[in-house]
Amino acid sequence: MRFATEADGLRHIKGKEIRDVSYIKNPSMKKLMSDSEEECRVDFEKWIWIKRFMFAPKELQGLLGKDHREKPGDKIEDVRNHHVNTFIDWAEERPRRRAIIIIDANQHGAATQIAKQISILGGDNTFGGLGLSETGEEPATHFWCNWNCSASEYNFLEEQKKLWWRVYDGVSYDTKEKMDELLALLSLKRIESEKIGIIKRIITWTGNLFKKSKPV
Amino acid sequence: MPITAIHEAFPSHGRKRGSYGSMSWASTGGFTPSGSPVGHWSADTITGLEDDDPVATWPDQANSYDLVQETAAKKPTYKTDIQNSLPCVRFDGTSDTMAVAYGSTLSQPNTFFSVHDFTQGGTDIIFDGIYGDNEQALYCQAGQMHSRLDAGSPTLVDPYMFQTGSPDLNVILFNGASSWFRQNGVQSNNINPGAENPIGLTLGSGYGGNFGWAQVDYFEFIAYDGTETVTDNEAGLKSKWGTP
Repeated sequence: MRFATEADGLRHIKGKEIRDVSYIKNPSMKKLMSDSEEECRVDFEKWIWIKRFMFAPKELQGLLGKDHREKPGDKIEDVRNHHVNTFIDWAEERPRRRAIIIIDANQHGAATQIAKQISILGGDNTFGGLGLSETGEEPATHFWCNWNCSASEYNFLEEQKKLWWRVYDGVSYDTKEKMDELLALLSLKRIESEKIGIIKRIITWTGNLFKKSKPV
Repeated sequence: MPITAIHEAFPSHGRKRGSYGSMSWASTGGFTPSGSPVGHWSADTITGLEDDDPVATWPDQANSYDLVQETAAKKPTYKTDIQNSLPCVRFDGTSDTMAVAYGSTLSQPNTFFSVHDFTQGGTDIIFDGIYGDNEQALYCQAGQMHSRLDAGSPTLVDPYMFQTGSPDLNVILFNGASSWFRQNGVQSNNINPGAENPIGLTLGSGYGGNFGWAQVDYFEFIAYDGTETVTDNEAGLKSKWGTP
């Protein structure tokens, strides 16, 4: 069994009892996916477990490297299962992340198919709008979106190895102004719609009139 | 660590989502809009979300015209404890937008009450209709914080300006040449932004959701098909949200 996203994997193992946490001691595990379904599932669980501790709250990070097996007893088992379930609840949705995705315009269809793996409903509109270009005029050379997503979804989006698909961490670009600075670094500008263009022309005209009427 | 301590460490475990302190939706001052609004959307009535969650549905309290967004990348963000310990719906100014079609056309005169914090000056559309030929919109003027109404004929409402860092309470009457705009209790002269009539509502962008995105925190929006008395709603919203 393979999972499209980590979130899918987490949903698969949620509520299941995970008894052996000894592999936490060995986070350098290289094999992530195996051929057999069972090995794949087990390895995926281990991989999720290790990876998620990198982002987990302090209380869960405190478990890293711990092995409760030398302290047998129902209470310890309950505690551990509680941690596991709490951890999975948290890891599935937390922390929220923000992915700014910029794609080449000629790959709009392929990029939309990637987005639809997560955004099943409405994913067709992920890269809507007039897009981006070097001059801010049509035609668009790129399209983009600003996506509030879960950590696992962010990983899925970031792990797409495509030259025409770039993901930027939106945390650094939390205002429209900063977003435009990012675009400027990439030599891109937003293409304004005709409606906004009309408004801007009116405003420019009004502003010029105002300047002319001001006493020197 | 004893189990009780773990429960304290992870208070969300086993609880229904959205039951935290700042999200006690039933205790928001008890504001009820006057008359019979077509639609009433208030951020403090959204349930089941935590801070930073994407908003897929913003329920209408008046009828069943819920604002919706299906596309994951276009969903605005639910933010807790933003104004008077109440939440907001945050539109990112890049792609977020929500929309709904009314059951019928709202013919002028139409009255709108809008509590929002417009956080970035651009040429941005705070609300709009859902079609280009049937719109009633509130814009911000490019690079400044001036307001502009458009029901087919964009009209500047100078010098009424949006604030940043605190919410504005705007009341807008679209009524042909007798239209006006009201900013935190101060009303403009009559203006004529056009004669178009909306068949739906878009928040956070222009109609269609693909241009004019506004970076704005939305708190509450009320739409009336007709002329609505301002005083009671304005006082109630001002008290609830702490607008000037």
